[in-house]
Amino acid sequence: MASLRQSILRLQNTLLWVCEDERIYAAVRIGFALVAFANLVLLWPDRLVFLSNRGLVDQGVTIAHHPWIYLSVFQWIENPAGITSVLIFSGFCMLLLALGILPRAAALVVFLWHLSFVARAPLVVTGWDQVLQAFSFLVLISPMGRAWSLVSSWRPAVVAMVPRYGLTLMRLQVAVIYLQTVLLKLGSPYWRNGEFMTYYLLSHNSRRPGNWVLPYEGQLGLVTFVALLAECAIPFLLFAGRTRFWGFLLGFLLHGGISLVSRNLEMFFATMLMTYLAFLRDGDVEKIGQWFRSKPAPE
Amino acid sequence: MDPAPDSLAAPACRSTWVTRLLGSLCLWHALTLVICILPGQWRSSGVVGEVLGQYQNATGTQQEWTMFHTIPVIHRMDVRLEVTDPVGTPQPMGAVLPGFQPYPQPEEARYYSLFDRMTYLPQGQKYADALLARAANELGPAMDPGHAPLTLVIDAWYTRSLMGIHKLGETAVERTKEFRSSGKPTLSP
Repeated sequence: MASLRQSILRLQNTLLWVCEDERIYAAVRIGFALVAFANLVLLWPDRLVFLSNRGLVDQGVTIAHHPWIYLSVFQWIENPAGITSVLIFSGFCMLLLALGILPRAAALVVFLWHLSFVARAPLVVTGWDQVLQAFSFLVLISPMGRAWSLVSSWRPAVVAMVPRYGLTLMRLQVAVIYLQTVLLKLGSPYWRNGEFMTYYLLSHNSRRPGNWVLPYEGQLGLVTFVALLAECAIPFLLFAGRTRFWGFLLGFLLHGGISLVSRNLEMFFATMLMTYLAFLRDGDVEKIGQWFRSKPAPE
Repeated sequence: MDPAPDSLAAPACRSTWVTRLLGSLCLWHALTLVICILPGQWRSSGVVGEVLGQYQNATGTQQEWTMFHTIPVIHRMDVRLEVTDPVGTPQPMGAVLPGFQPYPQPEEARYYSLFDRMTYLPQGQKYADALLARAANELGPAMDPGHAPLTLVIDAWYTRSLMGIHKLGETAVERTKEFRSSGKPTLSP
């Protein structure tokens, strides 16, 4: 019993309390804040359509059918001016978070924004909104540090080592996203017989839906299997130290490819690449810095 | 592995009770993530489903990664509102409120998700009722929300099976779903 307890403590220590370079958290914080800001900017023209009491999504119906406690600031703010103010304040806090100014308070506002938006307008929520929402909670509870903030640019400090618990949860979150979706896809006959990609390119999700895809059914079958295999492999490649680069590359190619053939999925591409920042390790930041420094200066 | 030296621990974690609390939260969160790899019916029922649902709702960490787990079936979509004039002719107008803006073309992900979900969610009719009442209200006092001859028309072209496309030479078949202010939606051929 004592050895079991010791094993659990040891595992807990390895997963949560071993320290990592605080600049990895800073990279995630900045990447997350900028992607969330871009998402907010894209939502801006439609804010009254999706969030106001004059738009398309009725809050009364949403509350009546919300399966859990309805947590959204929009239950108190329904008028256009109030909604515009919430968006401006949330966007401002995203920029504060990116700059590392009052990061914990800014992260709290950004978390509340995602919670409120997703609860208020479930009909318009996309996959990348859900990824950003999940990450907003993980960024909120993670060590913030002072690296790569506005303050550190004025008063440079020694880079600190901070506990890795936030990074562990972010990495696990990314793995769950991929593994759950792979398991669901394995249940679909269209993924198993390779027809998925042909149907996808015929749908309105495609950048150019049309019959031009039909002569390529065989090749698209191969693309379907490769995409499924890639989704399965990415988390494993990212977790293992030696194969992380191949995980990054495969993820970039997969999501970049999806983004190229799809309409409106650029934000998903950016969001998933942002999540990969959590897989950086000690030394990566130095290597990236060295790589930049080694590039010849423009004449 | 030896515990992390105290000098390496973050200041916030030096206090034992904070460390324990944070450690417990992290282990709990990790557990809620791992559980979500299991099939939906296992984790969404009973006490597990209730506890997991409340926690994930409060933390915004719902784990429903159903992105294209099956084929997308809609080839094209168009949405409009129709108001019947005194002669009985339906007059089309934009369905995007406020302002009766047209349904965006080329299509946008949030808009087609919204109207597509309206067609299959159980509460879709209620959303449509609210939308129609709001549209009638915006049109003016002459439009009685209860009796307004307003209809929300969702035209969707559904992709045929690949075999059907090859055989008939037709990519998609049109299905129109109409929502009216009262009564159930009708699915016309």
